[in-house]
Amino acid sequence: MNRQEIESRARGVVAAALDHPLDRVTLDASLIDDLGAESIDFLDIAFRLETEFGIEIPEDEVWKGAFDGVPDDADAIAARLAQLARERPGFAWDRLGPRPSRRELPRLITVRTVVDYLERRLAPESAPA
Amino acid sequence: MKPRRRVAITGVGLVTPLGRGLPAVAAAFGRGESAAAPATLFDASGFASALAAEVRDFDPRPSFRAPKALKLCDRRTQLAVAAASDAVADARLDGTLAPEELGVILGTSGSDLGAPELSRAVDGAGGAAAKDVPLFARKVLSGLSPLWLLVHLPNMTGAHVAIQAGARGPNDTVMTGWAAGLQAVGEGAAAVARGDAEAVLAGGTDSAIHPFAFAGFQQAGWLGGDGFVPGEGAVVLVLEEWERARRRGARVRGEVVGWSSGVVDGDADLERLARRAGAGEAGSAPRRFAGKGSAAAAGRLFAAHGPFDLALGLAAADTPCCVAAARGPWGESAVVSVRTAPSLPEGAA
Repeated sequence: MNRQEIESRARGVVAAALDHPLDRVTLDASLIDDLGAESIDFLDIAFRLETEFGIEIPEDEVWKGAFDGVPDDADAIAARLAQLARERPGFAWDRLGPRPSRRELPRLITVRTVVDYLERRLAPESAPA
Repeated sequence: MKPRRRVAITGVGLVTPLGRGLPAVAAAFGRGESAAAPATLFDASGFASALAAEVRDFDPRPSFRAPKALKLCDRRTQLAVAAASDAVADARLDGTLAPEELGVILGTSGSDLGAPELSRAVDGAGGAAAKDVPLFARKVLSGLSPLWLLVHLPNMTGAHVAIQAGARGPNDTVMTGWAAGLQAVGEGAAAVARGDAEAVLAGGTDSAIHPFAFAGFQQAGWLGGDGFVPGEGAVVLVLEEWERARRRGARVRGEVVGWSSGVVDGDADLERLARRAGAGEAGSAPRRFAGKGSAAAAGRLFAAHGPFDLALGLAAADTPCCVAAARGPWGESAVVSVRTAPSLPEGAA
């Protein structure tokens, strides 16, 4: 499946789950800030994507392991976030507040994050076991 | 003990098979209309009767401030949100209360538990999952939307009405069969009377047009019998503390002057309930009422089942007061006494 098709189907899923017209579901829209998603909607979107693309999406997939070994201290977290921002494009890093905390992470998830994730998951060489 | 406060009815929302809103429903009653027709919400052709009273052309969307919530709402809840939204508009209630002063108390019953979705998931996991619980747990649950149960919990009806109406006061769900809607009105009036809330959105909602309900009705021998047609609809009243309603110049449509509920077994019990309702449990002195043979009125109304009894009473605007009563098949009963606007003390309306 090429990126364009993944993008089109993923946007359709997000639009249906969050009850928005398709044209509001732009790649840079944050699911929480721009499209009004709540925690329950992430469960819903994950389930709909699983059904749409025939894959299984494990819990906490998006940020899994991102903070392993990072002490619970503002400077350490800020440093790790800065590192993540360089390593992982496709998130709305510009929306982080001045004193970023882990709790803000879900706000950084955009439609592009979802499409990037699906593209990785659906690539032939990384087919799930 | 604080004196009980009087309870005004300042808003009415009706979403029924006979129409939406008091004028439409009253007119349909006046014309003697029937809403019974072959069911369209599911294929009922295998049952003893396929007749149902459906709310036709129902679009819940305009009643939702946040339409995203629609995916979490079954038909009962959508009907309730619409009726509550109509009632709030009818009472011009918006902006007159703090969220925690407004409660929601609704009567409802079970849903179909998402039978179509559930059976699709069972099919998808292989038919064996239907009779093998460990297999069901492993396979079926992963094929079911994580929102499935949230849609069908009975208390979600009151929760969604509260979310859409911005009501953070007392929230309660009454599930006493056909008595539930009226009992909720009684409980709502009591909550206002004792000062737990300044206003309560109270009433009933249900949609019995699904295979489980039809199966139950058929087992009970009612389906296809004389005069019994499964239906659906929602009635929500705005019950408001009397003085507050007067101060803000609200149109008072009536006053809840008493209510009672209990389990009845025969006419003596019924009279006891009707007397208790007529005796003004909600705080006022319904003099006209006590002497008027309210038990007889209740007895007549007991013949009419469902959430529309109260609407019937309200629609008859030339009736000075009325008793609305409902009795479920297992004896749970509720009686609400209402003094309608023409008989209210002067200057109240």
